Parts: sequence; C-alpha cells; structure tokens
Amino acid sequence: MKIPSSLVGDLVIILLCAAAVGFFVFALGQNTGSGYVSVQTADGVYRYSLKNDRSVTVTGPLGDTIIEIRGGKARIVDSACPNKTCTFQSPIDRSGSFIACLPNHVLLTVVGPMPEEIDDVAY
Amino acid sequence: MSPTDRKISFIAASTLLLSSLEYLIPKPLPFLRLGLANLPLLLILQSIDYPSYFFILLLKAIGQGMVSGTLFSYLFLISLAGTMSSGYAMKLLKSLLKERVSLIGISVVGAFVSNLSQLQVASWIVYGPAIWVAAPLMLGLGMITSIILGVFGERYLRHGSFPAAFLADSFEPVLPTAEERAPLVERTVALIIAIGAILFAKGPIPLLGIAVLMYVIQGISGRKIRLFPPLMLLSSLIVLSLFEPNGQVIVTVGTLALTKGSIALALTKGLRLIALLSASQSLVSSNPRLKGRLGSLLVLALSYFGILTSCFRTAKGSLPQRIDGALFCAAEGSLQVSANNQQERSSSALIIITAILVVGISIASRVWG
Repeated sequence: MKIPSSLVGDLVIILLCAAAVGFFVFALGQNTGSGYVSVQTADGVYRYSLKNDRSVTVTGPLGDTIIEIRGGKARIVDSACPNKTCTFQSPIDRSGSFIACLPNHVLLTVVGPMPEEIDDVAY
Repeated sequence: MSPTDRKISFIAASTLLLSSLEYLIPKPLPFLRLGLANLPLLLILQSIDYPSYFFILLLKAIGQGMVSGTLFSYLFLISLAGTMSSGYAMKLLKSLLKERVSLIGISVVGAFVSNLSQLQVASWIVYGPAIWVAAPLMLGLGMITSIILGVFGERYLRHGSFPAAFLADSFEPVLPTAEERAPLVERTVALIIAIGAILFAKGPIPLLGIAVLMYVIQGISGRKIRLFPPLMLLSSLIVLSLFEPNGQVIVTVGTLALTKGSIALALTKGLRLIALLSASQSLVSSNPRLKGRLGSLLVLALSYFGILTSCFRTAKGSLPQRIDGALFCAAEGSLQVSANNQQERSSSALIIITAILVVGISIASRVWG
C-alpha cells in the first residue's frame, strides 16, 4: 500500500485537535470546584456559588441578615444585630476568609478556589 | 421536481437512514455518537456545489428533528448548530486543502467543530457554562469516532459500488409516489399554544403536571413514549447543578453539595424541557407543512427516507452491503411504499382538551406561584 499524499494534512489536523482537547483538560484542571460561600445560620447550612450575583436573606434569632454576592465577592448588607459590625466588613472572596454576625448567629465563609490570604483573616 | 432537487433530497434521505441506524446502536452516554449520518456528506463533499450542500445540511437537521421528534424543542437548535457549522467547516477544509487531506482529516475537523458548537449552544440554552465539564470527554471521544468514520468513508469510497454511481452526473433517483399525509391543523394550533404555556409556566410541581399531560397527548398522537432519555436529561441537569450551589444544603457529596435552590432550578429546567420535547413529538405527528422550496424538498426527502428504510429492511448481507443495496433499490424506485393515512377526529378533540388543561395549569402556576 503506497503512502497517500494526504497523510501529512491528516496528521497535522489530528495533532491540532488533540492539542485542543489537551487544552480543555488543562483548563478543567485549573477550574475544579468553583468557589462558593457557605452560610451557617441557626437553622442550617446554605451554599451559594460566587459565580452568580444575587441577594440572599437568612433568618437568625434576632431577625434577618441580608447577604449580597456580587462580582465574585460576598458581603453582608444589613443585619438585625445591635451593633451591625458585620455590615462594615469588606467583601470576601478568598478561600478561608469569613464574616460573622455573631449576635444573629450568621457566619459567612468562602470555600475555594482562590488561595487563602493571611492578611484577610488577621484579626 | 428538477433532477438537482431529487438528488439533494435523496442524499439528505440517506443521511436520515444512517442516523436512524445509528439510533439503534446502544450508547453508554447520551451525547456519544458515531456520526454515521455524516458519511454521505463526506462522500459528496468534493462534487457538490455550495447552494445544494446548504439545502442538504438543512434537510439533514430538520429531517433528523422530525424523525427523532425534537424539531420543535430547543434541543433542535443544538443539533442544527452542530450540523451547519461542521458541514461548512468540512466543505471549507476540502476546498482549501483539496488533495492534501483525506476524509479522515475532514471527518475529525467536522466532529470537532460540531461538538464545540453543540457545547456552546447547549451552554446558552439549557445547561449553562457548567456543561464545559463535558468538553474533554466529548471532544476526545469525537476524535476517536470521527477517525473511524473517516477510515470507513475512504474504504467505502474506493470499494463500495454505490458512490461511483452516486457521484456521476447522470445519477437521477426515481421520483417516489408515496402519498402525503394530510396536516392536522387544529392539532398543530393546540400544540403551539401548549408550547407557549410550557414556556410560561413556573415552578417544578406545575411543570411536572404539564409534562405528564404532554405525555398523554403524545400517547394519543400515536408517538412512542420513551422514558430513558428524559430521565437521563433530568439526572444530568441535577449532576451539573452540584457545581453551582444555591440555597440550603440537603446533602454533601465530597466537596460538592446538593442544595435546595439548585435542585429546584434543575427540576424546573429539566421538566420544562421534557414537556417541550414531548410537545415537539406530538407536533411532528400532526404533519405540519413547510412552505416554499425547502418544504417540497423536505416532503421529498422524507418519502425517500421511507423508501430507503423499507429497502434496507429487505436488503441482505453485511451492513455496508445492505446500505449499498438499499440506496440502489430506492434510487431505482424498485419498491413503492404508501403512507398509512389513518386519522381520527375524536383524538384531535382529546388533544385540544388536554392542551387547554396545560394552559390552565400554566396560568395557575403564575397566579399562585
């Protein structure tokens, strides 16, 4: 059987496509488990993807706490706590960073994929 | 009907025969496909002009939508995007590289472009960006199956007896004399209204009710009801919802969690799609008519497809031999089939009543939802 003239073209195409598949495998490995914010409240644990912007209201013993997710960051907009310290915290997006509304038993923690940053939790 | 139109319809019909043969092969994954239906496209790539090729691609997509019953659901957009983009990519590649590429390279590019565009459209209309998780698997498997298809195409082009006759300018399939089925206008209208109601409805529970009613209509319309594809669809949506948590955690699976909000979202999406697919099945069986050249080409392609299937059933030998035999038998018009034209008016009335119920549930879901 003689070698067809199309062999080179076919091989180049197959290699290019295989490289593209390899790229998708690589991209997928970079992006395992999208980041989410875990919300612990008096009545259970909630999870929200950081990818989608939304506003969430959870209820604690003192009343409502309003959480806002925007641009991949989470913060507390308002809470029924007496001093409202948690509403003044800057938005969190790094894995391990958290905001707590202690009087209302609400704890926000970010889980994956952004690496931890010590500065964010140093207090 | 001009000889060109006959040729276009006949080639489109042969893609339909192959895709229904492909349908019979059991597949472990819903997206996995050998791409048998692309074989005729590969074979004619060189000799066909762009306008005819365009109609063949369109007829292939619409015909597959009619045979599988997905034509009037948004799943059709996924297959349309795959067919058109890969069709043009293959044609372009052949005109650019000519003899420097074989059917193997063309087939690989076709599968790659088809899978990429299907993923993109699927991510836009049903699954969201999470579907890209499936990209490496789909593209990788697509490469393997498309290489096999390309090898098969090269061999068939050289050794099959049909391609030579097929590619000759003198090739002219005999015009079939199958009767057309009369369109059931009132059913078509009722089902189009029901589709509007499906899109309007809100919440998983009303949509579940609607999906059940749509299956009732499908049963009355005489389309076969399959439970596996919708269950597959629902479970794939629920699995993908794991990657986008939204709401109270029900169970955790490793680092992933099943949350109330994302389950409700997946069920709403899935049930809406299932209801829509079922409506599409019934709508196909109400024989809607397309106008213009495309409409008459489609009617012709579907009757060729009917003849090809009957010819295939009577053909003997190995699979390629049977395909060869079926193509010759249909092109020579040695077998005539007549469409069975049995319709009952009473079932139309039942369908209309059920469609009204669907509209009622849909409105109620918005009012009290």
